[in-house]
Amino acid sequence: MTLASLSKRLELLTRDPWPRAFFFFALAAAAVSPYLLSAGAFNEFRDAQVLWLYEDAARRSVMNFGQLPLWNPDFCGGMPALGTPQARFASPTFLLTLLFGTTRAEPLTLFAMVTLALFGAHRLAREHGAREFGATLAAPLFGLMGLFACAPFLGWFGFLGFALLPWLLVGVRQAARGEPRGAVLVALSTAFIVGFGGTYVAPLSLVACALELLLLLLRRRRVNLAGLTFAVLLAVGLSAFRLWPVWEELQRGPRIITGQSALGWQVLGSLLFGTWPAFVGECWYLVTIPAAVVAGLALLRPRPRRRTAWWLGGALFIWLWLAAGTGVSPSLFGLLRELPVFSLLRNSERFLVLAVLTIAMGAALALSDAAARLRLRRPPRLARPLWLLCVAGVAFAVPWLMNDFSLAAAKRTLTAPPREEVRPFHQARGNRWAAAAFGPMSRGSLACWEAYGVPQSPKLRADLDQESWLLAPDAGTLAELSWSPQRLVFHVELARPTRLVINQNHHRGWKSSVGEVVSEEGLLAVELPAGSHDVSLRFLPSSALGGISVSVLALGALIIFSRRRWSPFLRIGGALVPLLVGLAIAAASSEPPFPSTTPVGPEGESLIVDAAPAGAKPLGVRFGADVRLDAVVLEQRAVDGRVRLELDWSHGSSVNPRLGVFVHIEPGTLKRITADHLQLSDGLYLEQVPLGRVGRDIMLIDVPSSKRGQTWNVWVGLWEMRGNGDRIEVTEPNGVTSAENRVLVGTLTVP
Amino acid sequence: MRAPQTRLGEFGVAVITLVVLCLASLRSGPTQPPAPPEQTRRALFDELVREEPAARDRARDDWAHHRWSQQDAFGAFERDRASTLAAQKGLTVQDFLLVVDHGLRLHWPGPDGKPLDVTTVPLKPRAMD
Repeated sequence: MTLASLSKRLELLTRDPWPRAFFFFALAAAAVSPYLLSAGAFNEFRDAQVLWLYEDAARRSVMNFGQLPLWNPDFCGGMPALGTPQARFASPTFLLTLLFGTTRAEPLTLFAMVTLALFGAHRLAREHGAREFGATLAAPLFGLMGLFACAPFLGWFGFLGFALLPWLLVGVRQAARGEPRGAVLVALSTAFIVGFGGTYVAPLSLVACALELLLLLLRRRRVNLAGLTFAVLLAVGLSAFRLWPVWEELQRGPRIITGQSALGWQVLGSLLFGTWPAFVGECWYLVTIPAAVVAGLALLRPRPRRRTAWWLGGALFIWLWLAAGTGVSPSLFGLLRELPVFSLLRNSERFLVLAVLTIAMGAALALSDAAARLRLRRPPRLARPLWLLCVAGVAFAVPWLMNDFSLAAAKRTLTAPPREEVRPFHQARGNRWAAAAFGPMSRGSLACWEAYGVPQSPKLRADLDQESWLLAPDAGTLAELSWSPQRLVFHVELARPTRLVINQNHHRGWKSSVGEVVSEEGLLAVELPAGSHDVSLRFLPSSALGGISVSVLALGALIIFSRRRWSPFLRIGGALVPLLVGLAIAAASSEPPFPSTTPVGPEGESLIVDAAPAGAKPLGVRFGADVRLDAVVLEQRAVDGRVRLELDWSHGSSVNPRLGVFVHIEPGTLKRITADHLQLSDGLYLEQVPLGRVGRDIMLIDVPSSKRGQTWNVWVGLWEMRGNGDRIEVTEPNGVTSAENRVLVGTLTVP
Repeated sequence: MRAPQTRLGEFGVAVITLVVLCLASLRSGPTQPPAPPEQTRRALFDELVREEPAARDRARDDWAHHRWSQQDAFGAFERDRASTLAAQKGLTVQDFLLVVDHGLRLHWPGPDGKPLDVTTVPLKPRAMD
């Protein structure tokens, strides 16, 4: 058999959807096999436990209680389940969890997402003009990429949402051509991504869509604005079931986690191609060198089609530039972080996912061209070597990528899944490092972690015989009739009005059949009248119910208006209706506002005052970004021996909204204590301090035994914590010692 | 009449799906050891919490300015200790942590005779993690 006939046979084979599907299924199964072979084992890693718990709490709510999982009582003292950005149960893969259990569903979810990624990459390559042969052979370069191999070993399943990215981009391209099926694809893939959760996939997908459209415009392709508008409206409507609750929660407790990615260009190589020696360590963004070489061959395309490859090359450069973070100058990532949604993204290397997808597209084009050259009656001299080089590149890359799955899976510490027992629920002290231990045993873990500020009552307790009580115990009697995650039923006999208090966090989404739901120092409580009552509490927040209603209507609009016979005007109108209904639901909602969360200092101090408190030492240090450090208090308290540091800040009208405070406490020559923070007193952004007022930044610092008997020098400065990471210049030190854009605010001898 | 490769492809997809589902359903992981007998709970509790006050002091030293981080650092210690003890005694981390829950509900004291902490420091994620 000649090379040309082999190529032709492969082309014919890949044109048939079933052999192609078999190829993708086989690849996905082989790659995921290390995870499948340990399907009954539980991943002990810290984050894996928390994310497993979110999924399992939803499963138990459905399977054990027959309730929609809107509230998760198992973590932090109770939190809205749909509003938790990292939970993934609001997606089709939850069916696997319901059918196979939380632990066993994890490798199945991985298999499903990798398969989706393979089909999606193939489809996107076809959109870019690759033939079936090239698109099929290049799809594994994205579908089996390092992120899909590595994310599950830390339990970070949210990253698997990137599998939907090629589908989304296919939809965008089709919608831009005015094809209604493109709008359907955009809406469905967006809703899947949003439902699957995670904090990076949605914003990065947004950037990918924006660049896709920009490139279409630059290439002077016609962009159908009506089609795109229809797609966007459908996507927002269909995703409302999750967007609305998440938006509500992030309003209450913004995402705090931030940081910097100053990677630079050099690091990107090891992230994409692994480190030497190869095959011994997992690689998070592995695409392999042979794959990149194949993609590079796309630049040798025949002249009329070469332009496509150069555009892809331009896109690749942008993704690499973004991935390099603030380690390059100018920093595109730093610029992106100027935007509100992107200001808290910290890991720029995630953009390598988009780079890998672009490389896969390039490889698809190169393979297609190689096959096309062989089909010519007079193949060019280099046709055969190029075909061999392309096929060999992919053939070498695929096992390498599969090996990454094995390496990553082997890094897990596996144990038996948590034992499950349905028994009376209690809050436990808990432990976020072993969070999954509690929920299945009907215990909530009060100790918890999230990347955003989950409002948590300081009054939650882990030693109660009864999880509910009357605020005035002598006002009557209380009996708990039934407990379930979404519904609590009590019987009360009250001689006088009092509050029923429950050992869970308050949320305005709780509704009571009697009395009014209130917050009792952050705990869920009901103001009850005197008398005999059966009190039924249900968690039915407007955000979830409204969001689900909008999504259902949007699904209806998608089914009706995605047919060809509608005019663009009617389509847009139809897609707009669910959103208007959502607005009406929000306007008509009778839910009270959340209890005032005016931030206070660690001991209840007001944080916004007219002037620095009496006794504070005036400083008058001016920083760039229009910020002033007015005064400081530095003292060791006699009452508990802790050091109290108060920084009093004010700012002008052009304050930079991305600032954080860094505090370096240097005890003699010993290792310094750092107390960097984003919010003043852990509750107030600097830009939230009104003009002309003073914001108090109060820290109570325990004195470590190793740092006693030292003179503490306390240095303070500002930096672009949510921006490019640079320190802000001290423009007028006003006589205060300054160095390296920080000022020495005080010195204290700590006995 | 469908082409042979089409039928082969359909068959292959079905077989792989079946194999994947079987693997996910049947592959067993490490087995769960039996729960500790009730009469041993107090001893396990005492053993686990023996170093709690010292561990909390260390966490205070490490995170002098951040109370939530102090609690979290203690949580890491507690999990590691539970893991070590669980390996020694053929139990699970879950068993140990539930023993602590049991003891706290019965108000068993810590090693210094004082009550152990049963409250929580409200979540304040660190900006830099």
